[in-house]
Amino acid sequence: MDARLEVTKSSEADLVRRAQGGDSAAFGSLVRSHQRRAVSLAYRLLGNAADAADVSQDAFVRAYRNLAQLDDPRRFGAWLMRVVSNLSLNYRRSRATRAATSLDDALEVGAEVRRPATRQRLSRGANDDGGPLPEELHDAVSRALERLPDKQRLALILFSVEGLPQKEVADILECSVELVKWNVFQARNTLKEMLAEHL
Amino acid sequence: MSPDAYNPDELAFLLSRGLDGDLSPEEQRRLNEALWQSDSLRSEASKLETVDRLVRRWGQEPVEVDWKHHAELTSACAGSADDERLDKVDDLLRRWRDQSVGAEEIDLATVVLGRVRTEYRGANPYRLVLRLGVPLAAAAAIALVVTATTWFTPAREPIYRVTIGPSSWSAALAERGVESRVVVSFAQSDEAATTRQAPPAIGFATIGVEPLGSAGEESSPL
Repeated sequence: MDARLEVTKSSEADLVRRAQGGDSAAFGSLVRSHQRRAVSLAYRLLGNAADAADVSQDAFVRAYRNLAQLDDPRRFGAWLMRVVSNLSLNYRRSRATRAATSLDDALEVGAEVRRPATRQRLSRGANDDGGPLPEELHDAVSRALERLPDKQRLALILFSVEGLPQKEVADILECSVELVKWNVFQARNTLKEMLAEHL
Repeated sequence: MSPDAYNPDELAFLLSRGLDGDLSPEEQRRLNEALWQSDSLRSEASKLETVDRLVRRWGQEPVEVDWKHHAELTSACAGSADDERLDKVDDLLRRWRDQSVGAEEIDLATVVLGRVRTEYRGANPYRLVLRLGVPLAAAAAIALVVTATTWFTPAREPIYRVTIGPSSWSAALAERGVESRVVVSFAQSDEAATTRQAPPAIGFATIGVEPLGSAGEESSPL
């Protein structure tokens, strides 16, 4: 581990210990330093901003309530991401069984509507190197990712999209690094079949 | 192939790891050799590379959440879904779409800590009743039984002296939202201890408390 990361982890561990002692300002600092990744992960797993907002809020509240259970304060980040992942996956399952005409669907429509940056993208294809995908391709990738098994989707999103090191992904998924690599490979392999017409 | 069938020597797995720069020199050499010999493996490699690029670009879409409007939407949808409310939701959605902000720009800490504080405030009166009321009631029952026992045997030394009061930790623990308890202390008289007098069975048996030697302490957890 490089020296800067070591220092960051140690000051974060200090914040966690203070938060465990009841210092809410310290917990506020933890929220601020992890919120981007938490919201982003929830969004990638859930596909819309309204649900991501709900889930990441809940994740932080649960983390605060259960902070005493965290034995190693240096693992706060991985622990929090595991809470976000589990809540997101549970939310997806409950959403899948919800009635089609619920008011939540109205919210989801709203979230689908608001992708201004994506809408303006025009003719880029799968082989362009830079920038976000055109809308049609973006939706195709979203649908394909939706159909992956949970472990594969999580491993791929944490590693390839969020850019976390394999060791950290293994921590979050509570599995070996080797299994992370295998899940990433399986996910890519399945996507290759699902997205065949775009390759 | 079954997702469970882990095979570290599978060439496609090496291709995937190769994309992440994760191969040992020996594995890299083996893969290069195989790629040189097989058209289909080269095609496979190209497809996997494209998939990886697609996923990374898919992840470049900015995450935009407007927490203020999210809260307004939630409360607007919480009531009945009449036409007026749906119009309001529609309007809010339009405003939300136009004014979204990046995930890193929000003050989520305030939202989260606000929720936690609200939960604790809401829970406190009930918790206080449980925390103090139940142990006090239990302690009063013990006191009554012990007093009654000693009352009817006035010529002898009291068997137990009972004191009731909050634990010395109560205040500190209560500030941190931790369950606290009231402590009931028993001091058995020397005479009772030496003569092995039987304790008054009814009161102690009811709540499961036993005398602890010549002087002991038992508490009633919530």
